[in-house]
Amino acid sequence: MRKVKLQISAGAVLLAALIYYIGDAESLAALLIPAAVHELGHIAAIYMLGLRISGFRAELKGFCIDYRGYAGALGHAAAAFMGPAAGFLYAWAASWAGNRYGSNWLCLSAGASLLLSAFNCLPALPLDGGRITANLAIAFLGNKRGGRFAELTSLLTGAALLGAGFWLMYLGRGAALTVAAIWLLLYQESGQGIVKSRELL
Amino acid sequence: MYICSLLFIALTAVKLLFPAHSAGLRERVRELVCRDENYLEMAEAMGRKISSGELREALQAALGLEEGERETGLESAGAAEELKQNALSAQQSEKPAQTTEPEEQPEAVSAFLEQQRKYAGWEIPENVRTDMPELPFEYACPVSGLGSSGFGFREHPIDGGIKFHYGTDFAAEEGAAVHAFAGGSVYAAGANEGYGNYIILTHGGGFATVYAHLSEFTVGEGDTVQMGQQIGKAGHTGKATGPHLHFEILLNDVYLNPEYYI
Repeated sequence: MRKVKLQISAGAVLLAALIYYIGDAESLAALLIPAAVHELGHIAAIYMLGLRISGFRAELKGFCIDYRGYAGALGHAAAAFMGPAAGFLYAWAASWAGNRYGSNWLCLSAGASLLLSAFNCLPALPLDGGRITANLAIAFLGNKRGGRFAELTSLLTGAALLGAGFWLMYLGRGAALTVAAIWLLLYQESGQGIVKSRELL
Repeated sequence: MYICSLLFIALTAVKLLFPAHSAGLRERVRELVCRDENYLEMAEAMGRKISSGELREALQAALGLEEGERETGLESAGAAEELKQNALSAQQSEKPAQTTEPEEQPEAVSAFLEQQRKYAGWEIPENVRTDMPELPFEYACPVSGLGSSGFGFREHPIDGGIKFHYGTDFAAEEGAAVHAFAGGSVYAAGANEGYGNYIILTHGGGFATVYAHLSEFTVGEGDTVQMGQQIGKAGHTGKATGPHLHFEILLNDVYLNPEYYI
């Protein structure tokens, strides 16, 4: 049986400690379960496509799944899409159950899953939407032009998100979107590199 | 890596040993990042609307594009708790509140009535209003916490059976700060079997608010309070299954749905 590597960076441990310290257990659980469902969506897709998981990494960037194998541009795009797809499915199911059984916690988890999945669908690297864009662009435009297209799309999306974040801050609606945009801009990656890296976030 | 792991353990220990300090820090961080936005409430309201196909509405709520007051979408289900209404009525002013009834039923009211449809067999108590009168003063959320049980009929968590819940419960950590919903004066700071330690504030115009199951008071009867001023700490005194704030709004002894305003 082949080994699957598990790597946890120091930054991820520190971030987890801070989140745990600041957050309350109930809300954190409501956020972590959609994140787990998202990753399970990726894992299911990887196995369904006949690929192989080579490792898991917890980093400041987020939780990453490394895999090996080739399934074609559409296959890799589908593997990226399955994370948000599982998240949307979970959001609907949790919302239904939350309304049916009167659980505020399930509704919170559903909302968190919806936001997480929608954010992940943005066409910006290293998000799943960016990976889908990069895979498809490289398939249709070639490595160089496709990679550049994905990088440009990422940059524009990040900039637009930052603008929207500042706008919401101006309206007094908090800094969360700005923080997310800064995170996205800090982790901009090479379009070609991300496709070759066989990594899912 | 080792240093970070030690920090993790240290922070976990601090959180478990000094929960009030952790709650205080969380509140400060929340204010810093969220300002006047409560993302958890927003996510919860969105989550509630996903399966009902009101996604556009939910996204508008997330982006702040909707008009009027946002509804929190708290689930109603509930048990009536008794209050000293007679005493309140003496304090509340003779002049009627200057409220304006909106021409169209607000979305929050529609959502509440829709949610309560499953209790159609139960009659809403006479001392309850399901409409949304405008509050003639500024107000703020009394505690940082998720709504755990809403206004309206619910299955009583302790007694069992369907009963009317006259307020909204917010899950809050033991010792979390409870703030005045609006400026006013402390009409009562006492204790009874059901409410445990409770505070009643009067705000003029016949409006009053009730804060129950407190662990401590930080104001006394007769004190004047400002909106957002700490008046006590959350707890689980009285008839409670865990630490939470039970919050009520009354207008001339008639209960209003707090979720319309928070």
